[in-house]
Amino acid sequence: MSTSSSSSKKIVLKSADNETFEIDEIVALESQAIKNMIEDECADNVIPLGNIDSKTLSKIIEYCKKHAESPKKDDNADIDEKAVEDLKSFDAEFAKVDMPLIQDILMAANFLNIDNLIGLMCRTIADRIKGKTPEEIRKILNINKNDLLSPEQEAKAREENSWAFD
Amino acid sequence: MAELSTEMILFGILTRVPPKAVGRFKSVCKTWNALLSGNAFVREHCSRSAIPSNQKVLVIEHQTSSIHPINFETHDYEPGTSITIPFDHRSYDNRFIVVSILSHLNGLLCVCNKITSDLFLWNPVTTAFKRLPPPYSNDFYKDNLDAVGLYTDTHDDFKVLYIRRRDATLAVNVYSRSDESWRNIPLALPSEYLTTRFHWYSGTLCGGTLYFTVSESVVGGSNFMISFDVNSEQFHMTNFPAIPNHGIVYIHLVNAQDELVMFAATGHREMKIDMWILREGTWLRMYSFPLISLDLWCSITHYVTNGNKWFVMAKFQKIFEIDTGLMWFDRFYPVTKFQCSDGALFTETLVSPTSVGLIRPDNLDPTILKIAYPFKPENPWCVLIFSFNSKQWKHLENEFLPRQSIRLKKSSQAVVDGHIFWCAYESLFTNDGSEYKSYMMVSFNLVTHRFHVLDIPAKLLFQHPVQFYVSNLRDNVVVSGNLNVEDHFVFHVWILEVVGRCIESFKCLISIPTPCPLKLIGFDNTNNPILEVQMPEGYVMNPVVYNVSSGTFLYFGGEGNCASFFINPNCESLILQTHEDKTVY
Repeated sequence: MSTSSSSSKKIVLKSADNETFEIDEIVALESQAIKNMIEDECADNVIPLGNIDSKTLSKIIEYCKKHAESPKKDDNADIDEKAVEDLKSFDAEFAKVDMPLIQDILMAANFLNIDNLIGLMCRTIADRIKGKTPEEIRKILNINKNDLLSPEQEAKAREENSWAFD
Repeated sequence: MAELSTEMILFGILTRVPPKAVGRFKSVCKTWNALLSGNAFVREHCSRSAIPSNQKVLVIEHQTSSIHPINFETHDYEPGTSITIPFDHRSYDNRFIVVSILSHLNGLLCVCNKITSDLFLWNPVTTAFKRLPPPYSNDFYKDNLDAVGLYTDTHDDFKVLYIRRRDATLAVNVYSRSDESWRNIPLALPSEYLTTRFHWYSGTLCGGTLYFTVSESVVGGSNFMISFDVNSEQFHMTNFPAIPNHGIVYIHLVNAQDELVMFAATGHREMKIDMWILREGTWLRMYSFPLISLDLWCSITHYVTNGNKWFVMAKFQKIFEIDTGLMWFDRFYPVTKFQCSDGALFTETLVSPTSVGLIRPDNLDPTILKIAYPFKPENPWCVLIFSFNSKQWKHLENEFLPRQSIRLKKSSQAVVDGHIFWCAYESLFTNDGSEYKSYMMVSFNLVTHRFHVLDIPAKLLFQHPVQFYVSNLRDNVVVSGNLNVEDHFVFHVWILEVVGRCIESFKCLISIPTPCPLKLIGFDNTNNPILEVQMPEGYVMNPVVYNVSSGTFLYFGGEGNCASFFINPNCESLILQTHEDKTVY
């Protein structure tokens, strides 16, 4: 549950498991979806997010807070190098969570339309799967069993891409 | 937990894994197998590939070539892995590598074989390459005369601009990867610049313009710059900084985050290197490096930047490092062409050197091509194309039709590498008025929807029967037919190498003496032909396998009428042809 200095406008987000999070509007605006809702004035004080659980939502708020505080790139040409480095290391720490949570954050970020966070989560998953075998990938990403290649098709795919197996 | 959408996995995640991982992941499942080869994926993957971990240095030495990763933090080139160049790249005595890298873009290298003068597009990651069809009948790329520039157009077509200097004139041609052919481009410049006196260097692409430095000679003489707008296809003279034109002058261009940077080395015994940047049409001198000896300068291979620093490299060693005090870029920006020993700092991608979109039966949009000949011979054909994705019939404009006197033999066709091939003929008249048929092949590109007429090389036409069939042996076009020799026939099968729009070479695969004509209906898995043979007693036909090594026929039963046997893979395109003139009679 977030509390911060009084004067700025507050937004309340409600997770699927009915937990509420009060955050500064500026933090909520990191989400393009919420920004649109606010601009279209179709957001009440409480925004229900029925498909995001509280564990995922609190992670997303942690991310949005940090990024809302950091100076934006388009503010001026001379970006503070330290701030950029600081944000980089925050992102790296932020992504150190288990695979199911990363996938949940990615889906939620996609729903809330937070571009940077989508990119960060995709990069993290890409880094974790790039060295895996096709068998491991099927397990990690829960690939539909009906979609598997026949042994002949798989042998053909391997042969055509033999350059990738060395 | 809900599941990530296929789109998110593919375009969000898999566009961020290295090319080799994508290659391995094609065996994960059917959906990935089909989509990871698609255009949309390859394009998106390429646009995300420009990150340090995908940047590699390729070094070609006299006898070996290797690829080295670069450490973005320390800027060091790491130990490499040796690679084999997959095309003709050695001297006649097989001792030396004779190719040099002219330019590179989006992971494709443009390479020239200095002995055969052939040009290749090559992706060193996927090992795929394409030998470009020569635009002229004599020699092709001469290293000391010609120049190239690479770019992509607004339709994502990969282009090679080829500037050719011969016989006191300059000719410009542009190669299109999707058309697999060359097109001439007019070069309108003041006439004094159109002579062969000036040497053009490989073009550097920067913000939709290819920049060429042009020099009268390396020692003395004038230097200038010509730019080529890739959208309007116009050449322009471009400003050039005041560089002393006595002594040696050597110029390198670098595209650094869409800003054009020039390194100009000038001098005699000692070399001075100046770094210039083109801003709003004006060259500004940014830095001057300390004077270096000619020896040291000669060992410079390339210039590279990560934004924060500029490095002058000699093979794997830094000669100079200049701190600009600016922000770091997110990757390295290399020169277009290495000096001295051959190499390139390129980005690993999945971009294909051949026609856009790998044509595979499992991801090709099934297409129906309907060709109707007109009732009146002077009217054009009516060609309609139906695609199952669009669910619409599209009319092919008349300007894209082949010569209208050509007739296709619908019983003789094959689909190979995204093209339909037919046997075709044209009825011609001799001087005394007698009619004869001139045979050729016609192809239709299923991606670009263009017809091409392929002339049969005279040598082949001379040896093979006029009545021939077109079919395929896996990914090769084959033609077959019966030659009448005195009292019997000789059945021939020829395998063709089709490059672009030309039959580049041909080879006789099989010849079988036979008392009656044979017809090829396919091949078995050991490349033995399956033939339709007439039974001695009359009209009944039998399918047989001819064993090439033992010269024997294997009958396996199954009688049928003439031309009633078909062997086809389970997915091919479907062609309808109608003869409107016939229905009228």
